Amino acid sequence: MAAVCAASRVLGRKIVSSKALPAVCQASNRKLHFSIYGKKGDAKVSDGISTQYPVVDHEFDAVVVGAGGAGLRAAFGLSEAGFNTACVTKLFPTRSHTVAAQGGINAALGNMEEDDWRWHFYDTVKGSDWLGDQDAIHYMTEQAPAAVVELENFGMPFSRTEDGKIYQRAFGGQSLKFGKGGQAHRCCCVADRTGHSLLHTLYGRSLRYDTSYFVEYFALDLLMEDGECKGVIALCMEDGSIHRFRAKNTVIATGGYGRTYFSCTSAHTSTGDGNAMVTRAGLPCQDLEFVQFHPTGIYGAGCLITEGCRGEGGILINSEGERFMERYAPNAKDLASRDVVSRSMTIEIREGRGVGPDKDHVYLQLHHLPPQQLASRLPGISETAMIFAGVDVTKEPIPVLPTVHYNMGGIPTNYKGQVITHKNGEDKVVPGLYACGESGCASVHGANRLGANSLLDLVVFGRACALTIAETDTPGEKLSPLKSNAGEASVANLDKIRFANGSTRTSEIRLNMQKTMQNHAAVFRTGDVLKEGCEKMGSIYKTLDDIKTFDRGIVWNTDLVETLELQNLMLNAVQTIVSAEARKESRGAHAREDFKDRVDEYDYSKPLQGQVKKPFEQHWRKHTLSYVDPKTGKVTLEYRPVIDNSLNEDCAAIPPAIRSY
Amino acid sequence: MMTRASSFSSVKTFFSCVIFCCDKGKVHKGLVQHPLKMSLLRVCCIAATGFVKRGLLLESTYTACFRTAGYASGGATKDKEPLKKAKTPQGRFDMDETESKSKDILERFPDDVNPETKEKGGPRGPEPTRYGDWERKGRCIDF
Repeated sequence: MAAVCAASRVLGRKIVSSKALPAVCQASNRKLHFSIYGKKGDAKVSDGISTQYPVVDHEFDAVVVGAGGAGLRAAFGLSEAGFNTACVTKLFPTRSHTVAAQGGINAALGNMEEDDWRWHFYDTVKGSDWLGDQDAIHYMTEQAPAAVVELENFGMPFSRTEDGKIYQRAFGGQSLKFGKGGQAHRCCCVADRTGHSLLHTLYGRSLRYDTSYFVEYFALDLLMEDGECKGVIALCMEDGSIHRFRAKNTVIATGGYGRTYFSCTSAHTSTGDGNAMVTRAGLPCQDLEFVQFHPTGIYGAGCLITEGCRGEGGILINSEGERFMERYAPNAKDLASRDVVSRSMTIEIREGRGVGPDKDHVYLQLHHLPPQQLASRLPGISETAMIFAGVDVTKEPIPVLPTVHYNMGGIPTNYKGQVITHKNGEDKVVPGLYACGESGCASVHGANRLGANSLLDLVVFGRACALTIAETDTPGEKLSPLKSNAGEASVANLDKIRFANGSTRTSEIRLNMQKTMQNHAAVFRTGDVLKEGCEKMGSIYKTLDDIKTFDRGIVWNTDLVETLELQNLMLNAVQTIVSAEARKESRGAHAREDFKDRVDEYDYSKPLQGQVKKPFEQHWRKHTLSYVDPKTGKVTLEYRPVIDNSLNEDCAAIPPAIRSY
Repeated sequence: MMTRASSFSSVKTFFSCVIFCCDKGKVHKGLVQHPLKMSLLRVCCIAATGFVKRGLLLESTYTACFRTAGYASGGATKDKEPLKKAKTPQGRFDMDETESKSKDILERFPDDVNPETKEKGGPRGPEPTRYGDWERKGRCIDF
């Protein structure tokens, strides 16, 4: 079955040999041959963009960029509906970062106790700190049981109760009866590898359908014409050819951008390519300042250490060997909430009491605890510490620092998965463009993501994109004409980077950006720190013009691909820090020291009677939409209101309140 | 249909003939030219591969049928020796083989059923959500 997919990829190629070969090709005057095999024999070669970069044109009904949980679900949903679908991915599908999501997936199935999806709706709205769009949350929580049952029917081996129903456990701030009924048990899992199993189930299922996979094709840009998305242009990493995928519908599912920070749990490939493609197309990204951190991530590796370590008696110490949490939280000490711990650690590091040669992290000490207790209560921790930190946990402390785990923000969509912009006070759909997964922001997570909700987000909105496309279009529709030189700017950029001969290497610029983001746009956010960070990021953005690459080839040029990824990361990073600087309140994951409270249209801590509603410009319960000028790196911000009404009267919307747990 | 054993033995005899000829040639002619010997071997090899390929093709279809049909009835048809690295002599600094095998820290439950919660097919080891986040081997997976 896999051979079909492999065969559907181009095996041999034939191009029109160019008369004027570029200087670099003079050495080998061998003519390159390009023949297009595969199911779609009408993929044409054209030199509409450049004679030096011949382009292969493909035509499909729909293109999905990214093959993680959301991308695969969208791709085979479309193939199932009869659309001729292409899935363009820079990684093999089972290598996407979804495979690392080992936690569970929430759904109100009601197997352990009586449950209602409206209570899940309430928990998610509250968790998002009332920044989530309630219609999208309604859609997701209502579809959740059906989505989990569908996955189970695809063959995903959830763990079971004695009766054979799916076992659900308590996790992630879920409650019963709108927060008044105690802890809810909603989290379904597959042993200890839910994300891995999800991805493999979806991949296996997708092979039943006729999707064409273009694996290890790096998507460069969207092909936009007159505000409509007409496809994607991509670089085939294996042989350096450029491919244009023309399609009436494009779905972006490229994942998050954890790699803008020095310490993150994401894979090296989480570079926010989709967000950057949308930014370069002149469209906004939403709520990028909301980044979810975890206090104790291992320095260098990015792997997170559980809070149970501190729960069992582990302590955080600084360079002076002091248990600094006693100063910040005298009662709770190391057991304070995650954001307090993260902020305290960051303040210690900023004030110069960090450890290590760069003084940029702190230590988590466990060696004062009896080793048998550690081994019995936290089995496996010595193995983890040895593999990821290289320390013996019974003798040395583990180096830790606050680490990025998830990006709540992304490409703004409505609850159907269609990408929207905000013009004249109204949401306007961008025709032909959809987004789902971590890269999309239908805004179900709002200002803070609840545990086990993101895997649900993937499958529900991946399916939603496929359903919306199936409703609005029919397979086999004729494509609107596209200019023959569409994608010219992307190829020019590619050529410029390939022969870049400045003074700074890609890795240096990337490290500068990561360190700046970690120091200025991490957990500890105040006005001057953020302003300083914005200026630094602005100047680092300018150093991109002076970049130096070394590999001049076109076949599997990882230097080129890493530089393209760095350009994408930079766009995400500048938007994140400028949006964070502009938002003068604390909400969810965005916590500021100088503006500690939430600023809503009413003060919800007091009765609403007699309060005057603040105008839109003066409160912060709104989504940030950020645009970037790619040449200068200048960010412009606009705002869009939160959708406060649910889809229909099946579920009452939750009016805002103070969030307290 | 050739059985594997017979094809092997026939190839063996074929090659032994080849080698014999070469040696014979060596003995008789005094010094056998290198290229001559190589070309002779090459010709023999090409012939042999054609010979063996045909045999193996038949043989592989045979075992494929056998495998699908007779898998349940168990037992390997071939008494192939398991591939094993040659053991190094045990010295003072060598670790004992049993120690070096990594022990699984989190043990499987009997029948994969967790005795307290009666969960079938669930995560091994202590309850992952006991500290409020999803913990496994000291790592926080989700929170």
